Amino acid sequence: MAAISRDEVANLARLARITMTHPLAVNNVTREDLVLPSLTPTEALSGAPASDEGRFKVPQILGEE
Amino acid sequence: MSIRDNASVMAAALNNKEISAVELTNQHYEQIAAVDKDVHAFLYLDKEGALAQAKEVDKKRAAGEKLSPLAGVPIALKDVMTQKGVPTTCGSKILEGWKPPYDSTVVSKLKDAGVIILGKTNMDEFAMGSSTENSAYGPTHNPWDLTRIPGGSGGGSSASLAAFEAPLAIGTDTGGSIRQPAAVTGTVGVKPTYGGVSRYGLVAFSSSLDQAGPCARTVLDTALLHQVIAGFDPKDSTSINQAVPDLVAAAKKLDIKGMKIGVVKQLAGDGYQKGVENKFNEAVAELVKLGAEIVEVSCPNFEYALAAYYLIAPSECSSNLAKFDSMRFGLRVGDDGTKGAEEVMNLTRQAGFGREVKRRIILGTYALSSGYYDAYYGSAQKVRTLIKQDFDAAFTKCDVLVSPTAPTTAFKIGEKSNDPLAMYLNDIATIPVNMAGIGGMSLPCGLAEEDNLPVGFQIMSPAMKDDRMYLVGGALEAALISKWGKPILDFAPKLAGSK
Repeated sequence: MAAISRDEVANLARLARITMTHPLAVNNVTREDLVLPSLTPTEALSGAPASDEGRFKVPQILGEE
Repeated sequence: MSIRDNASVMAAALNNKEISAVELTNQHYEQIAAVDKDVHAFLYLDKEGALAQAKEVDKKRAAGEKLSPLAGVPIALKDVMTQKGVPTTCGSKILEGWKPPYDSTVVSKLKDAGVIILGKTNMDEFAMGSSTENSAYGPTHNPWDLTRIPGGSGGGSSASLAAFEAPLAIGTDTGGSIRQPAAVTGTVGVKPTYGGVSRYGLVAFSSSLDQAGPCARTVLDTALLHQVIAGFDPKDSTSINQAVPDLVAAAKKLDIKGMKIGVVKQLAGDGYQKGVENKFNEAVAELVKLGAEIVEVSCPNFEYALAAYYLIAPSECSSNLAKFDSMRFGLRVGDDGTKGAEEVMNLTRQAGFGREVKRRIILGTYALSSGYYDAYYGSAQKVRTLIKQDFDAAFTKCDVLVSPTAPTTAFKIGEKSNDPLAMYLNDIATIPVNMAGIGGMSLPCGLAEEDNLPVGFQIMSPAMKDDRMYLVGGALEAALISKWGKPILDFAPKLAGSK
């Protein structure tokens, strides 16, 4: 196997220093903590495979021990 | 006026009261009834909702209300965008029958503009694919040749345009899913700058790459639609809070004298069909005749774009698709009271996801696993930076970049469905645009001599300079149509029963 050249080491060092941010200059977005209109409980449950008393009904999560 | 007219012609006819929105909508449903059994562009038709929307537009117009330029013009919506109360499947069994309780921002904007939503179009499952063969509901057929693919993932949208079932359509583009279908069907499609059109209500595949955009039969129609759906949306955390450039004015300008157009050296040669290269070169010659200056640019890191994309996109998909857990919405399988949640979740995913989706979830989960994250996902993100740097350097030498959109014309249904790598290579020229978050357009530039099928010409513009694609695209389209004597879709064989 050929020896690794100085240029290859330099190139690897350069690649190791590349960092990726968002491709465009945008900042992290947080909105004001305001209460805004959202889905009603009925709407939120409208696609649920099963629901009961205004809640999602799911299969048993913990085993019986 | 006929359904073969462009959206802008339909809009003018509506405005002059030569036709009502209800009549125009019904004419499109007649065409769908006549040809969609062969094309299979649509998964769902919302005739009742569309006609109610059309009546409303007609009423407003009769009352003399000021309406948006596209009010009353019909549109086909890719089945990955939520529309309240209308089934949204993403081409997957796991969402069969799901009716979203909310409108995506794109749909809200279309409704506000009075654009009539005809129905939902077919797609590769969760937008993963380049042929629409990965749809759980069967493939869509290319109107140019029903034995061929209409591109993907947005093959339903592109086919609906080429079959005159709709004059406008919405697509989404993660690695080429708007542009490659446009290329192989002889239609126009634009991937806007990332953040230019809201992703709210777009069922996510790869969130840092996904972008909704406009599709139509002409550059001007695409610009009109782009202008309706674009703009800042506080509901999308990566939405860009900047004014949208005047895209319609750019599409109408038809003057590109003195513009510098860069041809990307790496997006040609091996793997590109001869007829594709010939039509691309002829279109570049047209740009020269129009007064543009051509410069060759080199983007050496594009070589790694495909490999990096197939780490980033599956990684993000494996995270995004974890929400299909059978608990809150969508399919649930095997819940007979004896099985626990984890087993039900497994059974549901086994039954609900198709092969390609499972392949990408497994790839992504592996790439993100502890100890591999930096080596795979981290390295891929570095490649992404290098690609962006290539674009930045190229754009110092020219105003836009051009290349063929796809390396080949439409291939046969079934030809590549068992060879994922061959399928992935279709997106070699479109993926760099998504990786850098910039804008990309595909418009038809002729028929390849080997097979008489349409070839796509890609125009790439810097971020938030989407108007440049429309400027160059509009001028090139006008020059090519005057050379051909008629629009490219007039060369396509007529479908049985079609108007």
